[in-house]
Amino acid sequence: MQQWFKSGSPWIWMTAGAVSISLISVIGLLSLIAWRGLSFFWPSPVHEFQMKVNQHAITQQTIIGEIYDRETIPTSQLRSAGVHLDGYREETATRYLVKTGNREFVELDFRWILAHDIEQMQTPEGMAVFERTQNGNFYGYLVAVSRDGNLIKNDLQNMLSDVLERTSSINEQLYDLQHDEIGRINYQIEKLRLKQRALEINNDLTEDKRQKIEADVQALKQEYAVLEKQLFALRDESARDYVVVKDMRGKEVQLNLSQVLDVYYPNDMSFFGKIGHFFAQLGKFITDEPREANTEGGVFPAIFGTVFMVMLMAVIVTPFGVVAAIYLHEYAGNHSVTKIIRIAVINLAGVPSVVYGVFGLGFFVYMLGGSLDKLFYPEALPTPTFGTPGVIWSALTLAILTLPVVIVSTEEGLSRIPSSVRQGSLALGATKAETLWRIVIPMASPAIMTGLILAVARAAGEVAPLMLVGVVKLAPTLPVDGNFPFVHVDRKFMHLGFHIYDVGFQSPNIEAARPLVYATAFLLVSVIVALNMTAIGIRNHLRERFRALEQ
Amino acid sequence: MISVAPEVMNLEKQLDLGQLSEEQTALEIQGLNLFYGDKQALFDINMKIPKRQVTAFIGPSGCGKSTLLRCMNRMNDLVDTCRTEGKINLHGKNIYDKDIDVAALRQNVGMVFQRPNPFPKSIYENVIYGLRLQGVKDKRRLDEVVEGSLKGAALWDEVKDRLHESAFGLSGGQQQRLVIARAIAIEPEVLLLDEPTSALDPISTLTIEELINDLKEKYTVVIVTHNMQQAARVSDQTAFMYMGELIEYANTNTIFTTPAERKTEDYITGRYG
Repeated sequence: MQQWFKSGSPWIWMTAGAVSISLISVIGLLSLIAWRGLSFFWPSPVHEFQMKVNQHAITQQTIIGEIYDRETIPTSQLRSAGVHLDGYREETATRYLVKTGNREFVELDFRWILAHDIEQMQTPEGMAVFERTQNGNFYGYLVAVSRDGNLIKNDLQNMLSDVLERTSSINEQLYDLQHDEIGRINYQIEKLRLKQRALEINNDLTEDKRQKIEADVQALKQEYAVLEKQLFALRDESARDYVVVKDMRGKEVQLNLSQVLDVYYPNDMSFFGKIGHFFAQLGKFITDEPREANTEGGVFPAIFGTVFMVMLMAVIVTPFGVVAAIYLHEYAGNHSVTKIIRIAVINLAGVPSVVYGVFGLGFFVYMLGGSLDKLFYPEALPTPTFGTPGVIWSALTLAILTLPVVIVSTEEGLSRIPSSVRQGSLALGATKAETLWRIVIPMASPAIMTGLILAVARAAGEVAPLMLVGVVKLAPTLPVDGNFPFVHVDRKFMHLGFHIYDVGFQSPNIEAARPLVYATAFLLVSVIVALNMTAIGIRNHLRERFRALEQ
Repeated sequence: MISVAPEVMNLEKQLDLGQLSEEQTALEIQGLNLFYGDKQALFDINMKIPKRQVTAFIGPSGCGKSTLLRCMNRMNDLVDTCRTEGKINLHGKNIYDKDIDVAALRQNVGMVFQRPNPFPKSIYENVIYGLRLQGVKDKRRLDEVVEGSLKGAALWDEVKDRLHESAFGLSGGQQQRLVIARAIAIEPEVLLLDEPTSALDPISTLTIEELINDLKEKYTVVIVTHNMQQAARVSDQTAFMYMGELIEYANTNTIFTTPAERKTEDYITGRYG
């Protein structure tokens, strides 16, 4: 035994154990998130339950829906909750969480049913799932399709997909019209209003200027009227067709196709059909906008917001951090003051991030943004332009948060450059600045990239400070669009991290939101990994160029 | 006693070092003292280094020969605690004067270090680094200088087909010649070599030594070496330094055959060092 201790084996086992535990927790975390998040997109079969006739609790005989969850609970718990279990003798009972959808027709779109109460359970063919813009999914059987006023009852699935294709192309036109054309006109009218107000403030609003602005506004309004007419015509056209469906109550209801986004038949799908559907759903999740208070639809604005904000932050933090590190390392000299500065910088990395958020709100948003508004946008006041949380303030706040990381790793990189190379440059008649610029900084660039990688990794995961300085639940417009000057850094934005919080805790429909939380979390991890991979790729490329340094 | 190859004992070339005229002198050192903090490293150095000759400094480790060399293009300025007294005159002007542009001085007095230190750039970019600093952009001139310098450093034939590849791909000896090419590309008057072959294998050393012989056609070469045979092979004058003092400075064959000082004789016969 003593021999065994002396040999050092326990130590090796202990260290290896620590590594294994870290590895297992990372893999466990990733696989849990990936599994729970990705399985949401897999088309699960839609069951039809025939319930036992029972005068106590069940009022409906048929329930149609997807099984979301199952659990085994003790019967005593059920009995004490007031559930009638006549003639049931087992210790435990199984129950299913079923998503029944059809939110506007039944009061609950999720319900628990006891396995004990199920008479018969099957996955009938021809069961259709409708994804809708409102009220969530609808489950039911196709009965008829109305196309241009004709009620069609045969070859329903093909007919429906034809009609749906037409409707969705109209819907797309509607969307474009609303967002691009009408959005542009509204933007320009607002610009003109601000221009008029600016002239008023400066006492520069002569009669002909005012008339000119009014004429411009009139022209835009006329344009708007034309577009509005088009819009209503398209709306009428898209609302013309409908589908008749039989729901689980056995009633036939009409679903207007303008509200139907997609229809699929999970019980009829082959395995490969399901795979195709899985990727299509995943694609929609990544590229669509959220609907229904973020519980449905995709997360594209949040992905865009996250990536845009992090890149903006990287653009701000890199030059600042590098310049500061160069001063500290090359010019400041090595005495007590620089030592204090260094310690201060390192400690800055330990300040809780929400404190930076408070600082950002107080300094950037209110002081800096408020002053900018007074100086450059007085016409818009009291509506703030920059004096309100926005993506630029978020990027700046996170830039300060990550500044220490960039400074420390840049300094490290600078100190690793052999003095012989510096001297070689100086001996050729280069000044110190020229040596820095031509030799030292290029050679330190892999280290700078390392700092940037760490900064990006930290910034992409921060949520707390952003809630104070720019993130919102739902941003109506992206920070980049087709209106001049195309990049609007004053706008609020959506962020994946905040989206998780919002969907998970602020959602009106918690059961519907849960899988979205996992899916969004998985996406956030993927986005951060992708950002990091890009940066690591660039760094490795740079390292390759300065390879001899490592020798 | 070291046997000296007959070709370096060319008596006709020998100069009277005490009586060098203004035109014959490249650098004149007068009363140079150097301190690192409180510690004095060089003591009252006085000497004239002749033009277009190879002058070697020998002496045991820590004798101050490298420090003296680094004074000649003010590389010692990089050491914070370093302080000098006395003069080093180049064209009759003290290089330690306040109005001297150090960058311009270093263009005029080039330096090659112990270990090859090519920049992380292509061979071509390494050679024209000094010219780029001076703002030369004319592509034809740059091409000419690259060819001329690489030929001057006896490297052209080996690298002419891969000028745009990384300089790190070269061997140690080739890198050192590249560094010499880089130094002569800006046409300095004086070339300081600080133990240029100490990190190289014997064959590369031989190549560099031959190169030094060619270089003195155009440049004044000052070389620090701890290898006495090398000093004997390549130099016209040799200075022996010991404990920060210049003990003896004379024509190479005089030093190696009939040294005037006891310490010199002890050193070159291997009694210490």
